Amino acid sequence: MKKLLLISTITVAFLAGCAMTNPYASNSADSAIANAQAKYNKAHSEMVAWKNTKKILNQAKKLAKTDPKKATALANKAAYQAQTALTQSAEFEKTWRSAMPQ
Amino acid sequence: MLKRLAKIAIISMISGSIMFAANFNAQAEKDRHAFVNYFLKKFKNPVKNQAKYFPYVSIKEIKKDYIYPLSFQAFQDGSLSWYKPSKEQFAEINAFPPYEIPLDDGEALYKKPFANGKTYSSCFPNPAIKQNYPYYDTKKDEIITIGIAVNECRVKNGEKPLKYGKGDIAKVISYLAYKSRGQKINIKIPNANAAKAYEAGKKLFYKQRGYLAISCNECHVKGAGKRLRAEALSPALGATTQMPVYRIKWGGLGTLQRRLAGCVKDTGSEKPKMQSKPLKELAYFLTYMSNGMKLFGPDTRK
Ligand code: HEC
Repeated sequence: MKKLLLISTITVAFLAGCAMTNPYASNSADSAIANAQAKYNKAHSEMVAWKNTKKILNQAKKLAKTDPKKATALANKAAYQAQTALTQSAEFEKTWRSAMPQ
Repeated sequence: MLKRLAKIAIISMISGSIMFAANFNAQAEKDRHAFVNYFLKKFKNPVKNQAKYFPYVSIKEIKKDYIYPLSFQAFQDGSLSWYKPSKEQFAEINAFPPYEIPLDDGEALYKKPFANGKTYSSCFPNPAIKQNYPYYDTKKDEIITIGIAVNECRVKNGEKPLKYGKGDIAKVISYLAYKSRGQKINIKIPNANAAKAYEAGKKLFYKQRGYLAISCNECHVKGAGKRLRAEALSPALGATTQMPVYRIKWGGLGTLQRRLAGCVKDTGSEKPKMQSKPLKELAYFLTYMSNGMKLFGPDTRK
């Protein structure tokens, strides 16, 4: 019984630990890449992604292991582009009709 | 009394929906009239209307280099319709049109039997059909471009589909276009989903996009008649009449889908796939805007 309790405590602690931010995550590019990927996917599905965003994101993925600092910077750039594309699209959605010939 | 009121309400509801059903192109027609009028007015007297339509160019330059007034059909020539230097240059090039050899290839391909002995004419007995493309297929519930129709014909006859945009498909389409010369573009909007597709294409045309935050409208409606570096910007009216084109830059023929994909990319956007839903919608909208214009493809472009 004691043993079982111990195991479950460890398991819970382990799961909680995973759910919390990994102290090493700041040194890894993974979360930045995941964030950029999600934003890019959204922009892409709405057909508003910019020309080079996917390329930048792919570069980030390539460098994730060897140069996490640079990979993070690239991923953040891709995320920024994708987010700007989405924000811009929402803004233009309000006004585009007024540009039509009347 | 109440019964009668209910009856009237039901009758008017039914007739309302019938009226609506007959009018899936009502909005598109409204758009098209405004669109055509804009271009006719703009190019009627550019000198007189310089301040309103051509703030980016001097009256002196208009007098020297612009061709006007332009008739409805004159817009078939793209940037050559209004820009004298380009028109002169291309008149010389088209004395021996560079599209002639690939057009001959297209004719040969059209007539060459597939492995099953049939030819393209089993699908297109009358090749003068380009005026009806792209059309909305109400059974498949999607837009069928002429490129898709060509490939469907091949697959039906046991052949592999061709790659879109250039090469053999552009040659075959050129032959169909050539045989359709003089036919008037006749794009229809048969149901509510087709109207939706038209609206989506319209949005893609007018809504700014990409890192340049620019729209097709900016260059090919407002900017039509403007010089942009070494280019003269073509009016969107008539933009699909001369397709496919032999482009000097490409060193060969390219289809409307190829041109549209390139122009979307030029706004700083991800390049869409040829024959993807958005690009088909864009083609549907853009071709609808030229309804009633005579076809005269293929042609030559820079
Ligand atoms: C920054 C300006 C610019 C934007 C924005 C732009 N284009 Fe173009 N487009 C050009 C130039 C330059 C050419 C080549 C010269 C010409 O024919 O206008 C061209 C050519 C074309 C042609 C061929 C016309 C012909 O007669 O051969 C089509 C069709 C076209 N564009 C469609 C579009 C569509 C659709 C969009 C929006 C997705 C778009 N363009 C956005 C600059 C632009």
